[in-house]
Amino acid sequence: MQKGTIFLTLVAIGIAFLVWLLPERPEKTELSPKELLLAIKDETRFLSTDEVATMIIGQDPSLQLIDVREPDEYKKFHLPGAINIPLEKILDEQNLELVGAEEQQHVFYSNGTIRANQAWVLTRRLGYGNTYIMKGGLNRWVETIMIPPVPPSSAPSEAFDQYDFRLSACRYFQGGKATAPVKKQTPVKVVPRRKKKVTASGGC
Amino acid sequence: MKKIQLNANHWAGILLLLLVISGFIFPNKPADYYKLSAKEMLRIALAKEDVVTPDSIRSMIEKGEDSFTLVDLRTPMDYVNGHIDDAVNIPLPDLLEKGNQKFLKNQGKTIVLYADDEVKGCAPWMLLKQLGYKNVKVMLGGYNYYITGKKMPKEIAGKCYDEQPRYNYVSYFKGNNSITQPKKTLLKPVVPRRKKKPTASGGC
Repeated sequence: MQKGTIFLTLVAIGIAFLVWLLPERPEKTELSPKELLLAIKDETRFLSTDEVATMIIGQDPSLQLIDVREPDEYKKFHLPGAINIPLEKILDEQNLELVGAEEQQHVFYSNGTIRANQAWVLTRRLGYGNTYIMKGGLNRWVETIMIPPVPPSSAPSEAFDQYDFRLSACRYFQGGKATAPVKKQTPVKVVPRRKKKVTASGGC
Repeated sequence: MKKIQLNANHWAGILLLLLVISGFIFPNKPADYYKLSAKEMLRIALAKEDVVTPDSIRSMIEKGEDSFTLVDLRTPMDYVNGHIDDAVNIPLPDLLEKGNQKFLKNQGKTIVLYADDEVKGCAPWMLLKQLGYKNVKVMLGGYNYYITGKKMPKEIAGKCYDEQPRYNYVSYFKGNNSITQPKKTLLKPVVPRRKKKPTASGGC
């Protein structure tokens, strides 16, 4: 064999080794600014509180709720099944791995929409696509699910269906405790029957 | 070992391989690319420094200050129907168009973005920030809050308005808060009072 050929082979093997040493490229490809703008314009990334409530109640296995608030806020209260990834840790490697799980729908939520939206923009830029935002956050959750406004009588029947859904969802999330105050009121309903008084006791 | 003589062909081969390797290491960058990494953007977002309250915008306009340029990100239709004085309309879909980018880059002033609400202004702000715009801010509350003319409470000015918890979530989910009970169930059944019958009607 020619020396030159051996040399080139060695060089090629050396380069192959270098390529092997290169840090593994992440599977996700970063979105260009233009692609990110298109994604920002797309409002389908927002899920309503009703949609999220339906998924929780239906125990949708693909749902992964991610609470992006601070750990102390999370400890005080969080939605059932939610995991806590504070916004400042959203770009940590193991957290990105969680968000990257393809088979799940990752729904960010916070008190409002801003922090969830920021988590979404940052992960979306890095190419994570299966991510959503619960619009309005926990504030909207209380306003729609926990104290749903009664639709006006002129509202279409869908509004009443939605209202009924919210009432039962509220009961579900209160874990059946909602019935307790109702029980307290029941004694009010019981009107003790008056015994008929003998109308004419002292007859002739 | 005998010294290997390199001829032109060998050098050409090595150059070609190096070229291939450099292609792996340096992926081509598009014309407009991010100047900030996602992590740098996250740090800026957490600092919450790039927010302006509607009150301060209003007072600056009243004073006739022109140290800032207001950019209205809403649709041209919304803009025509009403906008903040001297605001320039750049609808969100056109944000990255060359003319608009040139316009924004050549502003020697602070750029203050606003949309319908704070949430809709947030993602475009993040996009421009990541493209390297240093002097770009976003108005809290958005146009919807601005037109109410309300002052922003001191404790939330400077933070994200949208992210303030408006409820004590725990109490709503525990169900021991009377407000969570829809009004319907609170209604007590009206028990008509019986009129006292004259006890001894047929007396002696």
